Amino acid sequence: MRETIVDFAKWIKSQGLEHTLPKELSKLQQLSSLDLSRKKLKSLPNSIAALQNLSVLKLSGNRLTELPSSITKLKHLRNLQCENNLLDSLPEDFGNLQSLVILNLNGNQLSTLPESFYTLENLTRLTLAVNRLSQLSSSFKKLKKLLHISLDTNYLSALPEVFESMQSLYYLDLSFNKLSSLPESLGTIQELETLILEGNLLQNLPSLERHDMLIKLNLNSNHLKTINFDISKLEDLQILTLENNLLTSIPHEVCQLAKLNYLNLSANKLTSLPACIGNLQHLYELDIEDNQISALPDSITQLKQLKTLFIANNHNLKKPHLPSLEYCDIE
Amino acid sequence: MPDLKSKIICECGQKSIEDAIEIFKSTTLPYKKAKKLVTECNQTCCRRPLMALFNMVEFGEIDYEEIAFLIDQKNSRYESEDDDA
Repeated sequence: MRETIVDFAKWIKSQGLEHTLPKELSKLQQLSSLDLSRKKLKSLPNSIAALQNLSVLKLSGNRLTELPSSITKLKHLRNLQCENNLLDSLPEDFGNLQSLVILNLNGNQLSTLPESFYTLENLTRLTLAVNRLSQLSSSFKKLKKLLHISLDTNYLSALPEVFESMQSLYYLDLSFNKLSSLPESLGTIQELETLILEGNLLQNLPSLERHDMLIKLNLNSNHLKTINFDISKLEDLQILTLENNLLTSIPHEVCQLAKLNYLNLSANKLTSLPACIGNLQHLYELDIEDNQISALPDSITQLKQLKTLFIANNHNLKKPHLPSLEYCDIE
Repeated sequence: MPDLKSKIICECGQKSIEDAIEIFKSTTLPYKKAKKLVTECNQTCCRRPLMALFNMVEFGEIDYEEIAFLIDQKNSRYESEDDDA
């Protein structure tokens, strides 16, 4: 092992990093946190395995095309940050990193994950956004402790039924994929607070009614023509965005969302808003730009908290008189 | 650096990084609206480089290399999709 730490020290010197790390080998070997972000690194040496006490390893913003297989020997590694590199694969035995709790692989070129990946059962936060994943294994369901998943900007056209076991998940970002449908098990996640489905190919929604703890729902840029579930069941919802769909109307049940403070309906085909819109007493921003609306409901003057209103590019809408209004895109 | 400043940030709108910076500096609109001034479309295109640049303008310091990396990353994905097709 001594030779390996010597090798690692030599590598540090070869990269011109000797001023940012301990010079004494014993201190180097005891490191629990190592930040090698944005060092223009193209590779890592196998000798990194000498840092046996490493708990946090930051490698983001380099030009790494692969991770050395020896990295899987870092038995105490809890947090691996490797965002914005050029990784196109992970070591086959990546699953040996059994202490990993936080894993950030956003912005790489991963098209598959090794089967051992799904044994990382201590993961609570997993971010794999902006990669080239076209499918997930059904073994994903083994990652039961996940609280936060980001899989946005991949090539996923379908998802296996994996969410039933993830009862603590509170954040799920599946935006900018190619999903035309959602798995039924999505509806079983009890604790979900944020669901981001922007930029998919969704034409209808499975019943999202069961997500009564949802705070933020983003359905922007899909192919939705209607909201075909009882949206009033999302009684904790504060943020609802439906921008850039094909909606011709909004169900009046939206007016029962007592906690809603942000509603974005821009770039749809709406000709009117529900007459009851004034019931949304906590609404502070309403965006209905780029629709075909010719009149605002009278009740809009009851939106006592409304501060920001976007109504441009409709049919001659006039700015309503609202004392609380701080910005309107039409004067 | 001048090379990076003139790099096209998004095919929609054909604006350079420098153009986009000026647009973001000259508006008080939120990202969702300011972005459309650059791309001149309603799509969610070029999101990562544009959002990163918007945040950098807000923060007051531009990392041109980072933006160029995000543009290359986006372009490389498009090329990969074309290959798939």
